[in-house]
Parts: sequence; C-alpha cells; structure tokens
Amino acid sequence: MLRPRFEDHLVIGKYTGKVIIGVGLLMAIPLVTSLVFAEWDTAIDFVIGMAACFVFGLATQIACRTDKDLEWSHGLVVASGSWLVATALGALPHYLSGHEGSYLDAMFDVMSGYTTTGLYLLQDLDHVSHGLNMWRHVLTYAGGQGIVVIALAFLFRGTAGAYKVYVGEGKDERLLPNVINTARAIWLVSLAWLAVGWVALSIAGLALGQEPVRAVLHGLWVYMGAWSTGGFAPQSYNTMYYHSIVYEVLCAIVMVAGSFNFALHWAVWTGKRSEIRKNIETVSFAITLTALVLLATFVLAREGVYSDAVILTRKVFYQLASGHTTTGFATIFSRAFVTQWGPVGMLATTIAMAIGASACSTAGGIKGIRVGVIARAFFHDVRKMLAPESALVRTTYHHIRDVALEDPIVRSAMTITLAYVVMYLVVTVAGVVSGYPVVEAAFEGVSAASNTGLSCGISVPSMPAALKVVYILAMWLGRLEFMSVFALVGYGVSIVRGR
Amino acid sequence: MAAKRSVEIPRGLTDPKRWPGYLAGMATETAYVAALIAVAFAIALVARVIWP
Repeated sequence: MLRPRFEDHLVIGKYTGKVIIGVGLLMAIPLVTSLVFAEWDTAIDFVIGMAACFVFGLATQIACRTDKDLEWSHGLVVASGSWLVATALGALPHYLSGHEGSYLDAMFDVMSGYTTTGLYLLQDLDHVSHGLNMWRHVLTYAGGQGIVVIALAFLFRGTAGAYKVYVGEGKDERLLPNVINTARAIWLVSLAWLAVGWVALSIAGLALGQEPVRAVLHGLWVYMGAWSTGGFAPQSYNTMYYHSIVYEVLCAIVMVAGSFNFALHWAVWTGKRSEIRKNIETVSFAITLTALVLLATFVLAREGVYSDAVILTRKVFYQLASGHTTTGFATIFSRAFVTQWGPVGMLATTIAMAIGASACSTAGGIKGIRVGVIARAFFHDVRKMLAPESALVRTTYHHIRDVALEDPIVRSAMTITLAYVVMYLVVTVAGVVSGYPVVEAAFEGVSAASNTGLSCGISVPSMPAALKVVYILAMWLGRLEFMSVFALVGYGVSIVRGR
Repeated sequence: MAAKRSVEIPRGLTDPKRWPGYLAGMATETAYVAALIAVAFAIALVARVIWP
C-alpha cells in the first residue's frame, strides 16, 4: 500500500461504497419518522440525502468491480475514509433543514454524532423536526456500534477481509470466532439493552407527565444518546430538562453499561458474572471514577455549591460518570462548569474525559485497559526493583482471561496513550490560540478529542471556523484511535506522489 | 489486548434458552452501576459532615 496499485484503489472504492450504501439505508429510519409525523420538508431532505448516498455507493460498485479481498491496509483506509464520506453525505439533511449556520456546522454535528461525541452547533434544537431529531440519534447510535459494524452485520457476505475493516474502526475484540457473528453479537447486546432502556425511560417520561408519543420518542432518543455514549438529547437543556432523579439513574445505568467493552458484556451475559469485578477495565474505571468523584465532591462541598448530599451526588456523580464514560449528558448548564465548579471541578471532569471508558465499546478517550496496563507496568517495575536480583517477577492482568503483562502490550498501551496526550495538547493549544482561557480550552478540546461532548460553552455556531475544523479532526482521530487515519493519510500521500 | 475467543460458539445467538443468562448479565451490570452510585453517595455524606 506504500505503492498502491490500481487494484488497491478498486478494493478501497468498492468497500467504501458498501459502507455508504449502509448509511443511505439508515436514513430510511428518519425518513419514515418524517412521513409518520407529516413533516414533508424534512422527508424531502432525507430523500435527497439517501439519493446522494446511493448514487455514491452504486457508482463505486460499478466503477470498482474486483474480486480481490481486503488486506489489512485496505481495511484501515476503508474504515477511516468511509467515516469522512459518510460525514460529508450525512450532513445533507442537517444542512437542508435550515437549522445549521453553514455546511461546516452540519459536518461538525454529523461527525460529532458518528463519533459519539455529542457537541453540536445546530441552532434552535428545541424546535427541530422529529425526523431530524431521529437522524441525530440514529447517527450516534449507529456510530457507537461503528458504522462499519453495521455494514459487516448486514451488507458484507462472509468476506474474509471483513475483520480488517472492523479492526480499522478501533474494535479489536472477537466475541465469537467469526467476525460477522461478532458484529451480530454486538448488535444483540445493543438491541437487548435498547428494549429494556427504551421501555424504562418511556415509563419514566410518562410518570413525569409527558404526552405518550413524546415520552416514547424522548425515551428512545435519550436511550440512544446514553447507550452510544453520544450525549445527544432532544432538548437544549440536555437531560437537565427532565429534572428527575429516576431519569438520571436510568441514564447513568445505560451510559455506564454502554461504556463497557463488548467482550465484557458477552462474558457476563454468557455466565462469567465475576468478570465484572475482576476485569481490568471495570476495576480501573471504578477506581478512577471514585477518586475523581471524591475530589470534586470535597471541593464543591467546601465551597457550598450544592445544598445537601443527595443533590451533591446527583450533580457530581452524574457529570463525572457522563465525562468518564465519554457520554456528555449534563444536568448543569455549560457555563456552570466555569462559574460554579471552578478550576478543580473542571480539572476532575477533564481527567475523567481524557481517560474515557473501555476499549471495544461505544466510548472514547485513552481507555481504561491502557490506564490499567500502564499502572500494572508501573507496579511491576517497583516490585522488580525491590525483589532480589535472581527473582523472577511476573505480573498479569485480567481481561476475560488472565494475560501476562509483556513489553509489547505495555508499549502498545503507552504509544496510543502518548498519541492521545499529544492530541489533547494540540486541541488545547488550538483553543488558546483562538482566544479562550487555557482551562476552558483544555476542557472543551479534551471533550471533543475524547468523544465526550460536555461543553463549557466554547462549542457554539460563532466559534472560529478553524477551531471547528480542529475539533472535527480531533473527534475523527479520537474515535478511530489514530492508526486507520494515519493509514488513510499515507494512502493519500502515496497517490499524490504518484507511487 | 485482544481476547480472541472468550466463549463457546453459539448455535443461535437469539435462542430462547440463552435469554435468562442475558437478563442475569444485564442485572449484574446494573448492580455494578448501583454500587458506584452508592459509593458516590457515601462520599457526599462524608463531605457534608466535614463541611456542613
């Protein structure tokens, strides 16, 4: 692939087209929603969007006929490239709705949806059509599973190369020996939680006094935002709109469950219940979340920001769990992070967002498994120093099974962690250069790059266009975990250089 | 970092016999979140005692 041949272009074009056809098919859901609610203008927007996806997809199928199967490098390029094309074409209904200030804003929102980030520039959210709201949440739900996983589950017919696209999208766990069945198992877990979460949130909405149709729609959309760790909600007040402890607890359960590694889900669901208290990712998540909750709770209690322990828990646990799972749901105003939580509260939230949740989940960030592996490596080295020279020090960690801690695993974890840290620094500098205070620039930049979506008020339509582009790239890089994006860049460079 | 093969090969992922296990798995996951909330509440209680 450093010297791509004509056939390489055909393979990449063919499979990218398949993924885009999948995106076009997804638009049928908001289209039907628009038709049901007689939103004719919105329906036309989606017909145009679907047509664009199908024209692109079918044109590539015709132009890129080949029997060659995918290689690893193809899979990486297809995964990252199809996300870009899907963003450009998926933004059409957003832009045509008239709720976006520019096509760049529409692409920002769609990339935010696919990457399960949750930041948005859409204007007058409280009055968008049901169809567009459905599309926003389908985007984030589908993006959480990985749009390539959708194509794998429903469009790819047993190709041996399918796993290579799947890995390119940042998921490297095989729940089952067959990758297509792995994709289907991921959907089974998601759909089972969908049934339970949707019903529970709908009942909660009804109990709050919402009209039945509204309660059901909000239940579905909030579920999708929580499970995908996306953080989109149908109202501009996000989940603070509901002012309900029951709603908040349900959201917390769904967003934490959504942030679990799909391999962990599958292990727990197939009888290995103890996995949840032994797995390095759940242990790491529990430790870091509790430590950050402790820090933020003590600071906010000392400042007397919240009046009692229940409200303190509701505000601190919810925002930090939302940040740590990279969901982005909030029950405080964006500016409250600056005006009430202050630098220490914002720092705790920024650290939570930077770490993120589990690998091979819907979440972003550095990931608990890498934090756990690096911590284990640190303690391993300390033990080695203290042990007699002749002693053989062996360290393991538990992830589905006991795994020996070896240098390649630690190096891989350190490499990706370093890449995230560099990206967090770059987005922070970009924010500072754009004129924002460093604490706010770090908070918002890390939120975008870790695919969280909590905002302290920077992400608004009037923000500098260059910073919007930086955030779009950061969301894309953060979600795909660098390697497939680097492969796409290398592919582009090799085309430009003419082999 | 990959767990290549965590469980046995299923004959049918949606086999009704599997659903009690799936539901027990969901309950286990819910209990994990409930435990985290309980710890956060205990921290908040301690904080309110220190800073009433």
